Amino acid sequence: MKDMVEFPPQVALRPASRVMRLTQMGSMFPTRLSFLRTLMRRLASENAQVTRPVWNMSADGYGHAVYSVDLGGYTYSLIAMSTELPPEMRTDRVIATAWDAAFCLFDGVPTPDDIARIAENAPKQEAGKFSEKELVLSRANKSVRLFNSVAEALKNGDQPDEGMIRSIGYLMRTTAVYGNGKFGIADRGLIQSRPGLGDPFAAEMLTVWLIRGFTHDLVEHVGQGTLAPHLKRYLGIGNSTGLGMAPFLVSHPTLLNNWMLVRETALARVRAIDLLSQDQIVRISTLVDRAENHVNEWTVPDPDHMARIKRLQSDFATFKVAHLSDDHLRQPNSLDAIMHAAASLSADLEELLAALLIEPFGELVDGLTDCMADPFGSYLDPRMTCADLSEAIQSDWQWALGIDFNDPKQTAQFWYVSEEKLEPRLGSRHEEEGAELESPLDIARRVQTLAQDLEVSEQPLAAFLRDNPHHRFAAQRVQNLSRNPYAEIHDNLICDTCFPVDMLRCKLSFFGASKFDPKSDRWTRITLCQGAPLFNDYASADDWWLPCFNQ
Amino acid sequence: MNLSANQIVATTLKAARGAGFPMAQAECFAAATAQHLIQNRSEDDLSQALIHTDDSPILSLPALLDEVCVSGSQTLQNPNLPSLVQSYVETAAFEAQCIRAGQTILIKHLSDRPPLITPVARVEMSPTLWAHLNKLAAKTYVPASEASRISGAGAGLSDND
Repeated sequence: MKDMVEFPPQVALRPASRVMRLTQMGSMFPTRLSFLRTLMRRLASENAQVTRPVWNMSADGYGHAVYSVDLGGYTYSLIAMSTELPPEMRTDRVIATAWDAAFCLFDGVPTPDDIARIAENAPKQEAGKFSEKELVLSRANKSVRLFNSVAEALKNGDQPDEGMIRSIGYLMRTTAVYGNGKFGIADRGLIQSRPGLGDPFAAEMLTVWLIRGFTHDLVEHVGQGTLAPHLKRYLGIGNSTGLGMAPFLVSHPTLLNNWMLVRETALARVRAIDLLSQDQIVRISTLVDRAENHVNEWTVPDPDHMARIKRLQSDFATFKVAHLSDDHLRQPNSLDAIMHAAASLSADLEELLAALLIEPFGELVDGLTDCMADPFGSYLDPRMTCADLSEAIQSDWQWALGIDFNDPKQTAQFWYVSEEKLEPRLGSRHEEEGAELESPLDIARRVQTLAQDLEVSEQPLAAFLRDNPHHRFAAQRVQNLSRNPYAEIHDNLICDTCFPVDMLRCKLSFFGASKFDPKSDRWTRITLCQGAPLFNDYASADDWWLPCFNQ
Repeated sequence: MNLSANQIVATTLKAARGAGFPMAQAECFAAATAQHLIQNRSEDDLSQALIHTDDSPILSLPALLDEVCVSGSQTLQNPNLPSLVQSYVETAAFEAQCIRAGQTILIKHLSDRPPLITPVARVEMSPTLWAHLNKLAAKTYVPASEASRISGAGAGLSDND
């Protein structure tokens, strides 16, 4: 008899009807399962050493540098190029044509010819020519205020203003991080079987971590001084993200399912713990205090989002007293009780607690991260009967069937690709032209139309689709959701109340982003790698969830 | 010119949609196109397939493979663009075999396991086909308007902070 794999006990998963709502997805926090955390554990376990074989930089900080690191038996190099940028050209928007810095993650150690070729092309970004040796392409703009302030302080022999570092949190912010064959760089298929790069977006995360280290070196070079280690570790790398990221979650439904399923399974395992040890109680209490400090340090200029953060600060303080004391944690099934209590409160509080409770239990949940990639994609099984497909629609898509698409509000928006920059955008259907060219993100509407046209019979789906080929896409989504319960966002993505920033926050939380700083309902700034290990210093390499300034 | 496979898949998907084909069929065609080019098969087949007619292989081949999956096999007599049939079979969601005898192709379902496709570093494509695909893809793009610029993500804000 074969050995049986024994899985840890778990409570029931939170239903997709709750987890996959935009309001809930738009409240997510990073967890220890986030891609950056997984990468850092890997780097630390290998004690991966970062070297800087090239530093060719003017006194003002313009030039190029190369960083190399070994991971999983391969060497990767970040080629970083810093250029002088007039203020009038500095924009984080995708329509930009020049940036303060451009970056490329190179497969191996670049020769001088490689560096010259990439230095010629990387600053052009989309307009450059690239090869399979380039794995990731990125660019960044300075936080001019903070970069100049830190450099000035160092020049004067001082450490920079801590308040400013706390409020901004990064020296540069990336405005795009491209991987998987974009603009001719290497396809993900070429590297996905390599140790350490198999997890989703691992190459991109390695790139942003190396970029963050470069920004530290650059400001120290310009300032001719050394940043205090605690300041340096707090300085992450910013990112400015717009609509381009949002459709990804819709066009990769199985991947979305796998991310969410891993997170929910981790939470369900943690909730199944009967009694906590004293060490675990102490650890959770430490994290509760850290989460409270982190949320209290989180300030944004947008008044609506700041009001939401203030409510979270207040809710968390109240909840802490009512449910998170040592006495509460000593009770049987205390973690499950915490999540039950949080379920009736705000989505922000519930998702913060979900991330917090997963954090101390690496041994129980970290192995799940091996299941976050999607090597197969979605597919259609044409042998399914129409009756079975109809039953699946009735079972899984009630949220879509109930939408009145004759109401103009329910079709108020349309997603499209702009001719100007070939990037996703969102238009007003009843006010702008171009809706006839909309991208197929109207999943709920398509499935509802399929349900209306589908004849409930025992004939195989193949026959129905032969006569109705336009329903193939929706039929595939229905089948995929039957197999993958978290594959679909349970909201109408073309209605007037669809806010893309919720999709952005979900995806970015899986990257490991924190300090969400929404600038509108369709773009946000964030911070990555804040509190992450510095180059060649892996002390506390896995203890930087929701970092605080004075941790 | 040489390109990444993902560039080809992404652009072909948009090209097929721009030519008027439905999304799912465009996805199948995009996957088959990358495989077709990796195997150095005829580029003319791809251009011909993109001509939107009721019997275009972009519509008929997914339906044909559905029938293979349901019934176990299908026979094609004098198929249009036979090498494209092979590319579709090699990128199907299940393992299948193409047996050609003269003008006849027998497609047999072998297993439900998807075929393994070995990634390649670069895919060759003529500039002519690339331009054709991009021209069709452009039919899915919406021109900028004042309204779209104003409502674009990040519009109107200074990033010199």
